[in-house]
Amino acid sequence: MIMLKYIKVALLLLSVVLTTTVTSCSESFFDLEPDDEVTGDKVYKTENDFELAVNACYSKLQTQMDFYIELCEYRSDDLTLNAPTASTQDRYDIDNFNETSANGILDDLWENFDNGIYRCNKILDKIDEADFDQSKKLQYKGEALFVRALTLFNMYRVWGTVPAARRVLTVSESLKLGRATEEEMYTYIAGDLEQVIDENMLPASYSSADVGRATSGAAKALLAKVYLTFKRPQEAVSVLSGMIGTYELLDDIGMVFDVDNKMNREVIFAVRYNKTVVGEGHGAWYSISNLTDDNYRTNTLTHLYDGTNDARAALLEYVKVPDVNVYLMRKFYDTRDESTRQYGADNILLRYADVVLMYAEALNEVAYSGDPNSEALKMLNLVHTRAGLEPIDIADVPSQDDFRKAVMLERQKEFPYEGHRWFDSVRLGGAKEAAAADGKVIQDHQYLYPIPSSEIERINDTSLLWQNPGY
Amino acid sequence: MIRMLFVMTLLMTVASVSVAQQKAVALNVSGTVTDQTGEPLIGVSVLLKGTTMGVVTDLDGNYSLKGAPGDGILVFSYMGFATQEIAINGKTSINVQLQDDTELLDELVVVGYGVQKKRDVSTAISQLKAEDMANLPSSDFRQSMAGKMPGVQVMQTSGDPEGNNIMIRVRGVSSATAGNDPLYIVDGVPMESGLSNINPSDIESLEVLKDASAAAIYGSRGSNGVIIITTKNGSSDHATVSYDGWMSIDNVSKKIDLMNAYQYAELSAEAHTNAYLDLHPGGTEANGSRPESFSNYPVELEPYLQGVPGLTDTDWQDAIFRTGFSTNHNISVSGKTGDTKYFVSANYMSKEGVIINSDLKKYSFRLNLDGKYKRLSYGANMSPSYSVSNRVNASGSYSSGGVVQSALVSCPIWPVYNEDGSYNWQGNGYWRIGNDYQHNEVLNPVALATLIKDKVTRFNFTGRVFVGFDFGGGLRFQTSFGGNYYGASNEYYRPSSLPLLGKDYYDQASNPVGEASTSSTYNWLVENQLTWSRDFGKHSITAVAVQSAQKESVKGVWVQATDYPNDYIQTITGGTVSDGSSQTTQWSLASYLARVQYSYDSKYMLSAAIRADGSSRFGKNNRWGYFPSASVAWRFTNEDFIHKISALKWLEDGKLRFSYGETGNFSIGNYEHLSTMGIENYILGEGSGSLVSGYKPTSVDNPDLTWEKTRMINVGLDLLAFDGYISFTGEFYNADTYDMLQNVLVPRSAGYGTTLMNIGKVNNHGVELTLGSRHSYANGLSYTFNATWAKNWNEVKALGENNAPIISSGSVEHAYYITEVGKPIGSYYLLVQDGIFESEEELRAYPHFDNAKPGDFKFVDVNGDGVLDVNTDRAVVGNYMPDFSYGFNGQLSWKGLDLSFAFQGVYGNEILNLNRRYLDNMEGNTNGTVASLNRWHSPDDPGDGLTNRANRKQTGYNSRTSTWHLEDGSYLRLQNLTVGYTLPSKWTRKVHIDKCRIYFSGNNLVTWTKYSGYNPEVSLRNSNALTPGEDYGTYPLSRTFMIGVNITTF
Repeated sequence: MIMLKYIKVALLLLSVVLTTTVTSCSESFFDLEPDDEVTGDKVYKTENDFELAVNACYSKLQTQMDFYIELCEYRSDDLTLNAPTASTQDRYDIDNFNETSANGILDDLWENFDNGIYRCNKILDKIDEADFDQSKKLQYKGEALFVRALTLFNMYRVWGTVPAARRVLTVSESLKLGRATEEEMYTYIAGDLEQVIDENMLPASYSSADVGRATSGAAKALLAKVYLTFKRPQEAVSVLSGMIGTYELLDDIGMVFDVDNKMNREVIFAVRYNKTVVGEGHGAWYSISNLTDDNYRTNTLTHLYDGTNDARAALLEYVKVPDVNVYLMRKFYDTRDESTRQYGADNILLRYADVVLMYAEALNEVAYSGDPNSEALKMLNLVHTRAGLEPIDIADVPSQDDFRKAVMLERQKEFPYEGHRWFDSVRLGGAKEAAAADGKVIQDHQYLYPIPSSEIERINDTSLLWQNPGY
Repeated sequence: MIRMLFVMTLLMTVASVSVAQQKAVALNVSGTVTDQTGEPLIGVSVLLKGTTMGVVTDLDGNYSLKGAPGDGILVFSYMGFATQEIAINGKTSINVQLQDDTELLDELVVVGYGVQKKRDVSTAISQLKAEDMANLPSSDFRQSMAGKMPGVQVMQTSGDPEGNNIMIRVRGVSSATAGNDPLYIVDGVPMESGLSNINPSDIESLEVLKDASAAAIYGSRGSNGVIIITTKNGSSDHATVSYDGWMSIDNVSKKIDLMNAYQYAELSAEAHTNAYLDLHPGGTEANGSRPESFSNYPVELEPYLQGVPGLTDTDWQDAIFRTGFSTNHNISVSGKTGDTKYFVSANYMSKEGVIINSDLKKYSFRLNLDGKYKRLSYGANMSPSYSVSNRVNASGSYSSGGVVQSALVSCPIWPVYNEDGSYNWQGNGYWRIGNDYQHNEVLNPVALATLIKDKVTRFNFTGRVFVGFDFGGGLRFQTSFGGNYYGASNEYYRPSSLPLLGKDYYDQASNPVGEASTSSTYNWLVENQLTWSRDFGKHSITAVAVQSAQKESVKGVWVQATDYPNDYIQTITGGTVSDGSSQTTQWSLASYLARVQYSYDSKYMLSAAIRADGSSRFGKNNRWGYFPSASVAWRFTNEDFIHKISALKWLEDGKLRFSYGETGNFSIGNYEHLSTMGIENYILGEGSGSLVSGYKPTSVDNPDLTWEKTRMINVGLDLLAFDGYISFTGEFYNADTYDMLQNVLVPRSAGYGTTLMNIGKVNNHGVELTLGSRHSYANGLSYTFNATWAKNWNEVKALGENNAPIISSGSVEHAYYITEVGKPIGSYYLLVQDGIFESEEELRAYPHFDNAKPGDFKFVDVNGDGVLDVNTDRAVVGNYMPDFSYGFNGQLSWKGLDLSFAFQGVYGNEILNLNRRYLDNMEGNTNGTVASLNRWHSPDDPGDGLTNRANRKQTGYNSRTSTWHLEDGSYLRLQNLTVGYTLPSKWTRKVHIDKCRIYFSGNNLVTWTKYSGYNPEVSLRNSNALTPGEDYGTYPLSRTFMIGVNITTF
């Protein structure tokens, strides 16, 4: 019986201990956190936190190739798809001006762009109250503003005005956010970039390890493109004039794209890749496996350089990659990394040839000049003659419209596959004629794409988010 | 142990003699005890009522009791048989035939934190006992549940020998995002993994708590039903040794009827030519000189088109399937010595899959101990298991190396091996190099299954110890500690000899990839339980209070290496590490439970409980959930006024039940309420640049996230009539799940596409019926027959603020599902294909897509606006939930012969057979089924009017996912048929064997279905209720024939 008493006491103690173990430290019992992610309340405090957050803004840009390939190149008269398969129906519809609001490519990009803006907003919401080195703070803020402006600008070019989050929104706030007005879109995009430039947030260049971050030049070049898109050539002229001479046109255009010559003096801003690092390279763009497969190029592009000795024609030739049945265009040529099976060419978004041609375009839009020594013609010829061609004579471009067409043609020859052509032809005109040459018909409303139906359903209030007319 | 029995018998006899001598009138009574069939029963206890005087029967069923009083009463009792009392009345010879214990109502039912007499149960519980499972051998205990319990849908979704392919749904689907799997409690320990490691022979009983009142005992985790498994323990005074062994052969239960090489060649040539004619109407260029690469068809097809006999015609299904041999040995020892009960078992199973190179070897052990010392009771369960399996990737799409789909789409023109014995790789892009015919690249499935090493080793240990103390007066305290460790390690190696998929790599050696990963799950549970149980006359009351805490940690490490110089050293060491990750995730749960059960004369029963659960998975603001429940039952046959109704004389027992309860669901990710940042890196720096780290926000703060809850009422009726000939159970239930945990689509300006929220409501209501009959006839024939039928209605009642429907995609982007108010969760939402346009006239007469041509699908203009639109002309066209499910099973026995069978079926569900987007696409770019033989050729030869024209470049949206890919999933399956023979114990007892049974059994013998795929129980994404019922390549089921033996010693 004595033993039983001991047992009784022992059991009682045991249960008390067990119970108190659980209840007394109940908070720590429940407060579990992941160890492969960090909780949000711990970051956005130090310089390092913000540096990491800004890096992730850039890495979002790596996932936006569909924007350039599908919405810019297939949409334009550069590329075409003569028949769809089950997996290329969306591309086919975009190419043939037959896309609906259910198009998967458009829907994915909408989500991608909005998430990119969200990453920037997270930084911009918190950086002012953080306490660290002022110049670094200014730089990170400038970089976030740059990526945000770039993303919103791309959304604007695709869909026109969109609901634009200027800070991190709650779900209920996002349900009430409608499309911005045309003026607001301009203020948001141009305003962000003007702020970056006016407040000298970004340096003109970086020391070695930081090369690739947005520079003041990148902000200016992007701002100029924004001005031109919003039909403000005068503003474009003033920002572009300051850029002339700050970068170079490389003598050999092939060297601009050479993977051994990345971030050269012509590159203003590029999305960076490195094929040797898992997840940081890419599958090759526009690759084919037989030379006979090169049937995605339109007739227009195939014959674009006929009868000239244009150095740029060679950039579009396909070259076999050793050890695999893959051919890559010389412009994006790279060998495949054996370990990661990736390629590493950067996606150059802004380069000096673009700035030079934008300057020519802006000057001409402000006022046509018949002067053979005009700045505009000089700019046009800088790019033209670099391709090994004879200079354009003023007599060949006797009017503002002729000059505009010459700029347009020069851009067409300079930038194929680089994601410019569709928006160039919308901005400068001639998209319909270009498409007609390919047997396609563009209706007036198709300069903008349809808003993804999924997004309209989510907001479920057409006074806030309505479909673009015509769709 | 035989000797032990003799000694014990002797001792007891001696003892009884010494007691008997004191009696004045004493008789020597003897006799034989047999069962209904006349077989002697060994070890029957024969006791003189009211005394301790007694004996047990010997090997021949004989007993002899000396010095019994002439007016005494003998009590004959034996496990599994009804106890009989017989007055001596001066007789000296009393032979007794004991009857099977058909008194079902006195059986015990495990109800969670206690047991209850079946007659007192007031909630909806289905039970399966060891005897019910014993005659139906299976490798996973869940297979033996199929068709036996109404409202419990058991689906075997694949035939993978690894197991873990059984999906159970109790009373439909209630949750859109949080899980729908029931909670498993094994000997008191909740188990999340390693269920297929449980040895079916170890199970004593299995209960499914179906209604919320029963399941609310498990509160936060009871929403999807609770399955309670109790393993065996010793019961007889002598050690019993049992051996169960079987051998089986497995074959694939069905082959899909694919085209042969000649049929394929015709389809493919026609498809390419039609693509050419679409682009160049009236074109006459010969094959080979047409402008587009895909307008031509491969020259290799020519001899087939000319019908040259004897050409290569590979049956790729035969190439990957085989006959698998399996064996199973199970041995157990159980018994009781003094106050200690024990059960020890060991099991070995070796199983070969029906796909080459897939197999499993498993070793499992169990030790159950139970003891008593005065008022103290204690016990322990331990069950370690170890298994090694070789896997093949059977369930993936062919583009991810799925062996089955690769075999289905592989071109029959290519051989498995080249003449030199090496693997043939022509399927991997031969027809895309040189001239690109645009035939899909497929890797040789035999090579995929054979060359890739994918080996998993698993170790599982489940254990529990408890100590209890009886305070007297019915008060008992028990504390227990249980734990489960589950560890798995995987070695994977993809050798250089296997090329990468695609024409770019064709037949070239690849850079090998090796992977090593381990994961371990550690789960502990502490429970303190106070039980008070007391009878006051006809009142009986049991009260339970429980406090428990549980925590689970899952650790995972994964490393990948590449750049192996050759294929010799296949571990990570042999290559260069290229990627890796490691993480630990945890969750914890603390609970308090109180329950009172009351019964008056087994006539009125009442039970009420409340449970509180706190979980780490929810935000601070809503961490605790409260789950009340109550139930009442009325045994109206115990009322006098019922007895007086002569029209109800046939009714033996009747009970009406009513219950209400709330349960919860917390099957979501561990950290969903936290805002987290994840890694996303970038490249910066001069030249080719270097890696820089980046942090991206991965989820938003969600402090209000809380339990998904279900409120369920249940009405049940149990009847037993005509001396047990007929039994009936009927249940009706209505369950509302609210605050549903859902990944809600939100405007993406919030930063994300979806956010997990407590939103919306789903209703499930249904009827479950069981009809049974059993009887034992005097001539030795006995039978049991049960039929079950269940119907569940599922309807979404609300979805957030504006009830916006949730449209999700399956494996293919346009395989849409919709979850909308007024419809079941996860309905198919597709274009409706209504035959084909047989002619130009038909095409002109009906709205169609711009580029539709005669021979293309006729899609229904669902909204009737005269324009076809892939978006607005989708319709809700069915779902994976059956209209009803049913099963019937029975057992017959006569003398030593026994026969049992089990059927299971569902009716009225649809399956999205996405394999058809390759197999029945009429593009001729992969092989396909013979459905293509019915295709449209011309208006004069329109085929069956359903099957579209061959065309490599399909027009008119033929390739878009539509009802063309949807099939009726109804089926009836003969799950098991077993014939056994038990040798007469007359013979066997000579070698000390009590029972020796030999049986032949067949599993998955016949399936009656219209479904064209391998298995109508398929569902690719079990875990996602929004996109169920998809077949996109899966490990086919096998048909198994086995021969086995059960031996039990005494």
